[in-house]
Amino acid sequence: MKKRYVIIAVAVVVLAAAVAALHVAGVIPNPFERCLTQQAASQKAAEYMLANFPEMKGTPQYSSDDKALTYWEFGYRRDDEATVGQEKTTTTSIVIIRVDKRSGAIDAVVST
Amino acid sequence: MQSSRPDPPTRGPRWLEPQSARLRGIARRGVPVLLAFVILGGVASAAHSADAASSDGEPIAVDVKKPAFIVTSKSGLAKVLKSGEDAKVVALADRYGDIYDIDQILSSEYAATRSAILANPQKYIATIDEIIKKKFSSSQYSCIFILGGQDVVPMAELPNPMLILANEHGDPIDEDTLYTDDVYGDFDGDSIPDVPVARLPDGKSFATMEGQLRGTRTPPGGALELYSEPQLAAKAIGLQIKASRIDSVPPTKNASLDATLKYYYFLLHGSKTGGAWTGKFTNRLGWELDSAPGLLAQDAEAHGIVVSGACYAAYMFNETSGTDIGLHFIESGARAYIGATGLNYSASGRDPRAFLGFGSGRMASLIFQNCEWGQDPLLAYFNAKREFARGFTDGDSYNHKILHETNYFGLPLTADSSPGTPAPQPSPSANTGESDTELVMDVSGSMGDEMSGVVKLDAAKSAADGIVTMIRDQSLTQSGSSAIGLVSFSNEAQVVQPLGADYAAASEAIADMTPQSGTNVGDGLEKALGSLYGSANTRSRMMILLSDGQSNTGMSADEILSGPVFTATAAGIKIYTVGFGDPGDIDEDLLRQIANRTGGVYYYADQAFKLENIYIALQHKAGGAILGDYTGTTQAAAQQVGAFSVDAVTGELHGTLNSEGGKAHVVLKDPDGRAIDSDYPGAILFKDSKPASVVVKNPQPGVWKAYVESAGGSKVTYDVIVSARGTRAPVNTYRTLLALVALGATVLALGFVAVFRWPIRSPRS
Repeated sequence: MKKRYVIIAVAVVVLAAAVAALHVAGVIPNPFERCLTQQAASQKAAEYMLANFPEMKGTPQYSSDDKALTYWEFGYRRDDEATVGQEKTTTTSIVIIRVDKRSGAIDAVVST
Repeated sequence: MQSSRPDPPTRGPRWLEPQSARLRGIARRGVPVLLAFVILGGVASAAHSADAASSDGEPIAVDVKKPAFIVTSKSGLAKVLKSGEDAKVVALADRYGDIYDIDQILSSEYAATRSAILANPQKYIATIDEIIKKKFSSSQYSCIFILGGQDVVPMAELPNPMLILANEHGDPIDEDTLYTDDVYGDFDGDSIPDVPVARLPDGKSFATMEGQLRGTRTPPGGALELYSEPQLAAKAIGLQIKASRIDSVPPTKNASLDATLKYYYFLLHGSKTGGAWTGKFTNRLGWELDSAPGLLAQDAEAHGIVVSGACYAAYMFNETSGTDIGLHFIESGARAYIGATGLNYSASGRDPRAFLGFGSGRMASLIFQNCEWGQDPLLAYFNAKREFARGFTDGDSYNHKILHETNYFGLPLTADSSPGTPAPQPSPSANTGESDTELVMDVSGSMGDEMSGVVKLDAAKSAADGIVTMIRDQSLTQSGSSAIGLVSFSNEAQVVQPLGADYAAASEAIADMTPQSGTNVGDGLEKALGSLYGSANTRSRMMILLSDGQSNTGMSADEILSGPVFTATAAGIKIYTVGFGDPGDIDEDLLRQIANRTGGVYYYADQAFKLENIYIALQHKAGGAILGDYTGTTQAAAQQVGAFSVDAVTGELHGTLNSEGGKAHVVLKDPDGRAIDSDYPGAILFKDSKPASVVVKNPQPGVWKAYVESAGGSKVTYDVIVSARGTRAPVNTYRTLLALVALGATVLALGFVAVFRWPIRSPRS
């Protein structure tokens, strides 16, 4: 019986070491650190978009869930038909919003 | 737009495998596999670190005098140029290096597989890459020079890192293919070029190629920037290159350009079809293209170094100089043309620090910075790419895309009479412990008033002199010297002491200041910026602005914020502001905004002693990180005032004591309890200075203690500040990681034994 507890303890230590190693290797964030949920981050991104880019309505066309990254990422895209001189062309607008998983800080990039 | 991912390139970089997919697979296979993954992942991570350690973005010195390794397809040139012009192009190119004709090599060395290679575009690209890797020698050549456009020597294709995210979660947000020449210059498979690669596109015209091959030279000076109206932060690049013209569009719509400038930066909009750029948004994102047809496309010429942040600025496939602004610049003799082959991204908003911090703004900033350091434009671009690659993580999609989609068009390294062999430059972020400080002091009439029994200007002069003393003492302990400059302002500003290391002259200049009349904060900041802006950005640069009133002459508050404050922010110069006097008289809101926007801090002082302490603390901040700041009163012979931790990598420990009311000394004690005196190894003491200082080189790690001794038992008020600066030899992270992996592997191996032996030995089995 005692031996079983020892083995369980060893397994727990091994798992903790595994998580720590994954964190050290940069594969996962610190599991003890409170992070913004994807849903909450999505809400923040939507609010930012409404305030800064009201013409990009709707939901983002993608959102990242890469555990290794320290931020959530949301991408919005819009295509517009336009005419340059005699030529019809499609112009693309993309906005990528990054929400820091810990601080909630937002960085935005736009396509140029 | 396609949604399927193209075949991976033969030598796809490691980062293109999404980590999220890896993790999901692991979850399905269960814990034992997870444990195995930990071991393998650790080893892989160590291997990745080892790879990165050998090549991850460090600048590379290149001998620009060596010839170029020229890659072309003579049959490809013959197809896009008129008869006889292809031979002329080859003859002109021959002076830049040795020409390797893909057709000839395929016929002689790949005869058996030639047809299959030519039938498969991906194989063709992979074979070109293979030929380059086989025949290029860095001891023989300075760079790779691709002669011809996409239809002569195709660009390598990589899966677009933006698409990976899009495919997993919805519709594609970006295109599926990323076109780049980086693959040809990447010799160790880490996706970062190890050899500079330049390309001269053909534009289906001899004139386009001839415009370059007959030689281009960098004009001696001048710069301009045009940017889209909402991208105000892009002005930061114009300020960096000291552009005499920084215009938003459309005010300059269809305006002709001065062709003889050294630098051009465009942050305008581009689209895949049509090679013109535009500038105006109808509603931030929808471009009002009709309002600016063909902006710059018709008659613009630029003979200098052109960097464009426009989308598709370098997507010249099937274009000519008549339809594509990039090709037009190349044909008209631009020294270099650098742009993106796809949708390009830059920071949104009005924060210049964000614009310079990531995205295409960072890339442009690095390129221009290297040019300013005297590097040939191709080398500047090459080293900028390597530096850029160090600034983000594996999963960072748009920065990865920008890294590879930014490409160089122009001549190889040997073409220009560059100023000698450019040496790799230190990173601007490196903390050298040296600083450049500009004191910007209010000498308005009200500074002649008294406050707490002291004339305000006298208090300000005493504080300023303290900071000069501190910098002078510190400079004796450093290999380089910190500089100080002084600007005073009343109705207008005056450079009282130019930025430099003449500390005696600075003290004299401070002593000579007298109260005058109005308050022109904007001019004071402008004059100080004029000195600081030209100093090396490898040093810590800051301004300390002291004022006791409202800015009532010259620029308005808005003009101050959008003018000198914006420039300082863009240049990474922090402005610390100090309000000194009656809070009701001071424009605290403006001082706060100035500090906040530049990353500085606003302080308020109502006493001379406080003011001195603020100045001293700021000088500590300029050189390093403050470990402790202790204030109080004592009349004890020796009183412990604080304790602080020193880590194992701290290069120097700096302590200062400022006191009033009597003479006092500061004593630091190391973790063994030994007091720091002049016999202590690595210690230098300035006991008689005001403020008194102590410097300890390579301090022992652990908890140190600070004591104040009151000489003669008089009651003294003290302010002791201790800071750490510089670093010792860097810790070898690769070895540390390897050690961790080894330790982890051992623990896990023992865990495996325990887990898998359990059922065998269990009485129940």
